Amino acid sequence: MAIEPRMYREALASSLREHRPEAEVSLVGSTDDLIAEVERTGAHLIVANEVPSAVREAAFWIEVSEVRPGESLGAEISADGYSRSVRDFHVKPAFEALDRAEEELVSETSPVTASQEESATSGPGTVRPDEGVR
Amino acid sequence: MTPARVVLADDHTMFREGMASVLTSRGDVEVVGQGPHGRDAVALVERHKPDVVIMQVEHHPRRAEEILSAMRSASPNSRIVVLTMFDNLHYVRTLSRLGIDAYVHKSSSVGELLATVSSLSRNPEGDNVVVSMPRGSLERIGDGHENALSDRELEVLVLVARGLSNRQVARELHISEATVKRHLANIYEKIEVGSRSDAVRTALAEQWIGFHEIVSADSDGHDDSGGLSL
Repeated sequence: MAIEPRMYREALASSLREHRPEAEVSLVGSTDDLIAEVERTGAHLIVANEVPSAVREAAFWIEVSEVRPGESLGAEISADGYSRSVRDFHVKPAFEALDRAEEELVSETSPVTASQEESATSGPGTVRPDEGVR
Repeated sequence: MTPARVVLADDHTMFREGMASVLTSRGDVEVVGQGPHGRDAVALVERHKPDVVIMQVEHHPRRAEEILSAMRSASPNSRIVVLTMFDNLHYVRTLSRLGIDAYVHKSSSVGELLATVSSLSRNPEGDNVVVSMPRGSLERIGDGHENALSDRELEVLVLVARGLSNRQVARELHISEATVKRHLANIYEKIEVGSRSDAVRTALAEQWIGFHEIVSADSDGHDDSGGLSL
């Protein structure tokens, strides 16, 4: 997670840690640190003011707009091949993206289960725009 | 120990929800209301009469005065913690005069905010103002000409920085155009510059005024600036 100002970063991280205690949340302060941290941890979800193109393919991501007084806090969310923009970013889409990342992780590590799911559904792992992130 | 009752008012939903989550995870704080800042926040404070109000304040000083006065009237005993992106000392001084109890810049840590809330709720009679802001801004106290410029002159400078003409500044501040010119002449003399663009450039470089003051829309949702013309 690399969003400014610090209080926003820590507030979102605390919320994720409280509601998704199984998730490991790393906080970094710069884009360079973010790239290195993604490579080091193999992160499944990136939340940043600027998501570098180098890591966009590597994980789900949420690009949060820069905090400016008098302006709403928007975000662009990319999860599992589907992206959308939100004008007023709140914590729920972050939870949803995290859950989606976890589902993918579980399916990657459980090939039998993934195969079973694939045979039971028409579009495995792909979220249609009208379905939302989850 | 009875938990401190807190109202949280900030326009950014993600931040507000995150902070509410952090606060309620502590046993000594109860978030009794949360919502956007401004008039909605005043209504929440009037209804709940909380021990502490944590509120975003990023308005022009006159608008900030309106909101804070309404807050004080709604609940005179609530301690007020201002959260802001403004990092200039002029704004701190102005809000201090309006009776706030803490000024916390959003670059502060969550831990610093929690410590502030805890301190204020434990000392309801305390008279000191807690300030948490970037070190660089505090280190400029007493430097240069900031102390030589009056509040009104700084107010004029902010509007000039927004690109307003003398006539527009006069209308905004409800003073005559001649008075605006007099303020500008005094500013030029005090800080030893020869033009409005130099005055704005100097004020920004010295952090007498903040960039966020210049680019932010006012609380009514419109921005009457003509942009920054330097």
